[in-house]
Amino acid sequence: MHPEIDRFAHLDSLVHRWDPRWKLACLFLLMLSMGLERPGSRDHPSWEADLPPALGCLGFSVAIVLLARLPFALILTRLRGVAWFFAVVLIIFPLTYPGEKTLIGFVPVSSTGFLVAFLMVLRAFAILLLAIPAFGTSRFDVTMKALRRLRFPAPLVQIILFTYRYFFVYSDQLRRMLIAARARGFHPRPDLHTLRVAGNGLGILLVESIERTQRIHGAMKCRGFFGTFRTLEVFRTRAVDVALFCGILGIGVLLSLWRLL
Amino acid sequence: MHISDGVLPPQIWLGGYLVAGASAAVVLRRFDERRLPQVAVLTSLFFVCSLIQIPLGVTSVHLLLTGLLGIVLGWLSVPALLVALFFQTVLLGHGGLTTIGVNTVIMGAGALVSRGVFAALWGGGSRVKSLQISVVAFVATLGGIVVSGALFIGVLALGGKSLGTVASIIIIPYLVVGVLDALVTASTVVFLLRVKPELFDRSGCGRAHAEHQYP
Repeated sequence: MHPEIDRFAHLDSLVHRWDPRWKLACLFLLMLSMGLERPGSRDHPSWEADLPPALGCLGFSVAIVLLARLPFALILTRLRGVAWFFAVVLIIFPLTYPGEKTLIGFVPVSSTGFLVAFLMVLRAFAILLLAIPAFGTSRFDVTMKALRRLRFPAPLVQIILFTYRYFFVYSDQLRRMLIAARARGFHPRPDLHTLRVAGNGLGILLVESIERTQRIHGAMKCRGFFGTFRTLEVFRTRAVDVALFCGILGIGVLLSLWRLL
Repeated sequence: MHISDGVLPPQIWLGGYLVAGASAAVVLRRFDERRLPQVAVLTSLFFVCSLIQIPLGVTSVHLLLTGLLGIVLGWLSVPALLVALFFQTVLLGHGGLTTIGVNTVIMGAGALVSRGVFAALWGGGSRVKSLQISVVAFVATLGGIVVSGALFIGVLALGGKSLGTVASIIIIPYLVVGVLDALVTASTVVFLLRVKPELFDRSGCGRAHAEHQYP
């Protein structure tokens, strides 16, 4: 697993060229609006009123992802993370939802329960899909700079950047430690020794990297770092950026109105 | 053990944003920049450990490390969890950006409970008695995981009875891995207290230990 968020940031598409500030703001607002639901749709969902708008929202998200021209494999990996949860939802809801049930074979199944679960899955996928173009179409440092411009708190952005940097250090270090342990004949077994090795290993990893980060942080301060990360990227708003923002958000609002009224 | 987008009614995830955002804002207002390396390193470890999947029956689980995060970082575990959950959402599709607040509250409560139990049971003596500390860290971590699990079920149950049932099924493998996680955390805490005791935030806002960093 590559913990690289921006592995496909070098590709080219309308979404890639979109100013990151407008892109993040627009897609985040769109996510929020798609998370809203018609009051009562949880207790009395209707096939006619609730299903078409939900499908419409998912379709719109798919359209934005297609517009970003990201590889299909990437989208699949992201969606796999929630597959297990929604498999359980789709099985449990029809079986346990209160109200009238019809028999399929010997099992009493509630169609309302299925609809509620299905709407949930549609909503979830519509929102999840949007997170992929939001963070996958610009270089990570540029995304962070854009977040900062959008008044996202500076300490949080700093923590995010240092944390991200450390994924790669850790992956290397973990691999090295595993090789070293294996070279000394270590096999994980369910016993106290394995536990102690695991605990000490995590401890060493922490102590080593904290000391290293302190040195790096100290060196950065010596060179005049006081909390702002500078990149050569200059943000410039063009008409296209605003047009995309308004267009996508406008369709999003229309979809919400369709869903909520 | 993350709640995905689209599952909860809007008032609940909006409430989650409010609670998590407010507590992170309060914590970060007196954020001592010298603790940045420590916070980032622990957040990163938290995320990397969630990549190592341990197969368990039909599903797979991973070390949680919320207990370790809470015990070492104290209140700073709230922004740390916020960042970790952001990465888990964006990179792995676990959780969601609309539910990131709720998830932070659920896991943050667990981390803070671990922290509280650990601080209450361990006097903070300078001599490190490994057995005593192991037991205290074990109990603290497990307590935090139980609190997080209960909150997880409780929050999902607010969205309907069937959702509560789903939550109780999802949570089972995590309670099993919780015991393993508590054992590893106990072992790590003993190690850290021996090797780098100044890592532990004892005063609540970390002034005492910050002075150690740049002599």
